[in-house]
Amino acid sequence: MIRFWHSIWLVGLLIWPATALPSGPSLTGEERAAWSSFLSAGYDTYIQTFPLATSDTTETIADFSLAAGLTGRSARHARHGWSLRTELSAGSELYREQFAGAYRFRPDGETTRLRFDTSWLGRQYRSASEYGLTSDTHEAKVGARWYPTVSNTLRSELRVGAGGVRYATPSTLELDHDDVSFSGRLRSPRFAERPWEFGVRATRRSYPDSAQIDRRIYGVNTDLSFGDLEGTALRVYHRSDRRIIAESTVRPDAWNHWTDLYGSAPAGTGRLVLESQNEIWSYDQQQSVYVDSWRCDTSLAYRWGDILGAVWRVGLAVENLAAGDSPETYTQAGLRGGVETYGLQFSASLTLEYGRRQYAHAVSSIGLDEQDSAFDAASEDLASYSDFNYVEIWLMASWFATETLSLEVLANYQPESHTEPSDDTSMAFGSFRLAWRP
Amino acid sequence: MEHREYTTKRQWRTTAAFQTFLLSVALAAFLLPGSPVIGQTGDRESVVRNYVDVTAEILNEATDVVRESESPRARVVLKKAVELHQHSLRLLDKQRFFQARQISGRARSGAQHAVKLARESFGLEEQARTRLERFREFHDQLAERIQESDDRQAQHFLREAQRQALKAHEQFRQHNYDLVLSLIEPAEALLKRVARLLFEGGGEQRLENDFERTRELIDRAIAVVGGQSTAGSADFLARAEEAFVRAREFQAQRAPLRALHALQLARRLAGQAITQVGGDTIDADAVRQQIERWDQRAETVAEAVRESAANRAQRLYRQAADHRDRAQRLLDADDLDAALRQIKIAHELLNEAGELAR
Repeated sequence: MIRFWHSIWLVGLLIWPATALPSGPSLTGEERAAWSSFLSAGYDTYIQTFPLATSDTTETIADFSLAAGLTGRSARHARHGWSLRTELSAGSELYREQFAGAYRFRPDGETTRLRFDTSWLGRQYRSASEYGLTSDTHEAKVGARWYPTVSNTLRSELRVGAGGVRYATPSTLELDHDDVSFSGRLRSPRFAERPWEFGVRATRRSYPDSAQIDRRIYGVNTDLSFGDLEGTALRVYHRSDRRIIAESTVRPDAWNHWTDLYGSAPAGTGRLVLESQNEIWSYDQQQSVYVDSWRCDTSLAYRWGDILGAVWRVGLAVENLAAGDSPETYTQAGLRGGVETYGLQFSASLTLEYGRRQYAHAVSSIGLDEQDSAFDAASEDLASYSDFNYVEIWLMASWFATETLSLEVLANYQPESHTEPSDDTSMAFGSFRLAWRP
Repeated sequence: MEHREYTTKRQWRTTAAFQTFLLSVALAAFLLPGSPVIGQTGDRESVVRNYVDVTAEILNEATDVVRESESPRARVVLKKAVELHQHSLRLLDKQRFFQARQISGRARSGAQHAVKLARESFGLEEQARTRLERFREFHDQLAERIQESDDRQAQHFLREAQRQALKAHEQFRQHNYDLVLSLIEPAEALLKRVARLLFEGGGEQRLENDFERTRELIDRAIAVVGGQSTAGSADFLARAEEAFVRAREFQAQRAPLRALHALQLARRLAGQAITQVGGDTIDADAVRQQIERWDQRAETVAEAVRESAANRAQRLYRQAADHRDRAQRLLDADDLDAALRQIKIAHELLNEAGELAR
């Protein structure tokens, strides 16, 4: 109870300066520092139904929370730019505190040459929290960026960062850890017609209580995009990482490749949109759960409509996981459709997908005793999966009742219907938030 | 013994599963109360004890896999499976073989489920981690770009995306990776909306370019339509001008994507105006009218420039006059396209000089 009143007091402390400070047009002010604040009430609920051993279980977490935040920034073209954001929330499940601050040095008031960032996030779970892991946490990060070259043809950037997570009661599932990272990037100039980026990075994560899983990651990434006003667009992002674990017998070293592809082209009155996400894992030594795999998630859709009214979308979504003889190997295909609108007062999107996932080595629907006996014959595969049909429904909506009052709604429902009924699962999520920005 | 070749592992498994199914039926018959072999306690005990021993091995193997994955749910399931196994051992000690066999079977099923959850969790963990990292990178990029833009909607979507990602991040800390992937999906969708508003809208600079391009086309349409204006072409031109003004209003409301679409409409209407009069041919009279319009406007601007004593305004005015003269010379030489380009530049420079002199 003391914590609750403490949070209310802090919320008031945050709102007060926002109303007392000269709050210029919070988003458009050019000549002076600007402040804005918000107060919100929200309700989040997560419901998951899944089989647990031999019975079905439903996990429900419902969190009602009050939050307040204050955001400030310097004049848009100030030589010494700064920004800060604080937020406090008191919920029925947990308390959260966030702070983020940044400083930018812009010699000409336009181009950033140096930047420092810091952020901190604290969480304290209530004793009666429904969450499975309830150790209070603190996460902190600091970072610096230097832009040695900013010209009409090239921008370069060097970054160094550090961060850490601390748990009040560390456990095997809640391990304290520290991160250090270095990276360098070359980028196209601002407003380039065809933006591109190339970067290299090195990060190190250490676990003070479990040094054998300390890891180093070395990686490269590229990002290329092209688009014209007629609707033809192409974006390719790729990154490759080499992950090295301190004790490779505990977790093997690995290569990870990740590629995102986005393309669109005018077609008829609308446009054809292709999106693809690819993830490849290649281990130095494959072990029971560490198997080489390639996951490819691709969708092809036709988008049409009036951006000033409603935009419709319909298409095919295919996901494939190729993992050799591993029981996880599957192919999934579904039909996806949706509509979205971008009104100034009301914006919303509704997406619906229906499809089926088929495992390459799926088990058929057999009884408990038969499965028990199957262990003896095929004991090298302890896990087995059953095919399923799935439905995904997504709803997102924002409504600005007035200039200062908005309502956010997010809802999702994903049931799976398996050939082996005892494997059926479902997941639902709902969030409502009423925010006031004085 | 007959050896058979199995073309795929799956086929082998299916066959093996069938064989073990028959074996299990036989085993069940053997253990059922009232079975003709029920009296053979020694044999029965050794079969069940053997079964329970295999369960123990399976549980050991499952424990290794579950430990690797750090999945809380898999751990809960495995813990239940171990409890069931211990129960089966106690039943075995009490010579209750049938129940021991049943409970041991449940322990195996639990172990299987725990392994499945653990393996799923492992794959999802890496996927969720990368998706969260990707989100942060993309968010960072857009946050940089959004500072250059005044798009209110884009700023709102970016804030909501960040809020959504925080929820996903919290579920990641809970090792609830399937929920992370579900929560990061709308956060990414919101970022894509921001990108669409910023990039497809083209950001401030590209939007300005589009305004310029559209103005050029409308001016060209005015020049082409010129003296041969019909009721239809005049209507298209008026609607193109209206759409252009509407685009400026959208820009003022910080809705660049809407502005962009209004500009597209303006260009389409200007194009239709040209088609109405029979194609993209410039009329000499239209260019002459533009030069005359410049001359009329120049009188007022020249006075303002003289009074303002702004050096830059004077320089711009001189440049504008220079382009106007070039347009006249090109018109005399019947190079209408080039003349139209020159008089347009002259108009723009005159606008700028007028602005500075104000």
